[in-house]
Amino acid sequence: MKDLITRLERILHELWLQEFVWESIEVFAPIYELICEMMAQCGLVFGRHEEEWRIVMYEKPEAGEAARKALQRWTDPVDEPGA
Amino acid sequence: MSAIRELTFAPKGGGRLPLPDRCSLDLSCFEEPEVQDALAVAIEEILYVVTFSGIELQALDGVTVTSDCRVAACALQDLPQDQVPLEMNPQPEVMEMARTAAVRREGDLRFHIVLRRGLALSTLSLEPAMQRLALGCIAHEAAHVEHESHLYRMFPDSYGKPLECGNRSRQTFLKAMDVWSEYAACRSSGMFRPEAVEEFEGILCRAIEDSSAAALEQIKAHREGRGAGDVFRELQQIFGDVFICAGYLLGHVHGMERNLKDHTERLHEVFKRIRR
Repeated sequence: MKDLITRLERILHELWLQEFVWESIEVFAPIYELICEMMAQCGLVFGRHEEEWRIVMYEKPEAGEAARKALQRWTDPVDEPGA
Repeated sequence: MSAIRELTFAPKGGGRLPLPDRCSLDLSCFEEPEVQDALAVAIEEILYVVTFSGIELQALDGVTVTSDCRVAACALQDLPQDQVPLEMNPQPEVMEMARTAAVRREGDLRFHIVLRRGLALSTLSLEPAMQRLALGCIAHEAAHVEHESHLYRMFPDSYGKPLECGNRSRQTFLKAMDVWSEYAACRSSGMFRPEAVEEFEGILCRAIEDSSAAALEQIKAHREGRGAGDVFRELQQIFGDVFICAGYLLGHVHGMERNLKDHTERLHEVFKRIRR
């Protein structure tokens, strides 16, 4: 958590410095990624493929990596070995 | 006299402040004319004070004092039928003393500050701490007017239609934008109430500590039959709010030209305790 907040501090400061030269709302994506990271640490990962959403929830933190990989195989099927 | 007045800021001399030529001030939630008069003077004065501090208010549409900020803000957003309103999520409860709503006026996007009536009355308080609270909150909303108007001038498509954010969750992306919004408003207005750092630190500590248990509760509820979609929305709300609380604190700390590591002992205790 400390790491997430430290990274958020840096991201927000950079956004502040660049506020007048933002190119698109993609500038907010790094904050989005941090929120997703915290959700993953607490038992939730999700992804979207075309119009379908998949949500994976888990109670043990060690299940997180497997959940993330399973979701990635579904959202990026071309990256799957042998696909 | 009508309870909705007009404040006029059009320059009489040479200089020009970053204020609109005029804006409305709705005090209709107060019946007594003398209270309305006193509040009109106090609020106008505060708008000048925050402008002199460097906050730009050209996009200010008006100020409304109300007993329910959320309802009043939604009512102000009288958009055409094919447009969707700007995000109107509930804010963390403790922050809901005021809010700023985007409104369309003759094709232009402008911003309207809504204040809870108790907060407006604090502008007249004899207690310096209460006066500072009111000034700090109004300055915070004024800073929203500046930063939100800048955001929507740059990205006009992000208003009036569903936000386009690719394969990401729109709910969480809007939370990410809210994190920035609160950070920027706090950074621009923090100097009006430096003591608020402790409040924001306490709020963030509680949000972090409560979020794990709240998330587990939701996951458990899902195992017991609650729909995945509902749980998903709830979890995004919980974790998005943690980051919004962090945005408040970080903005305030940076607004006083400090860093998080220097002045937030309690938060560092929480970091040590949760080890996540």
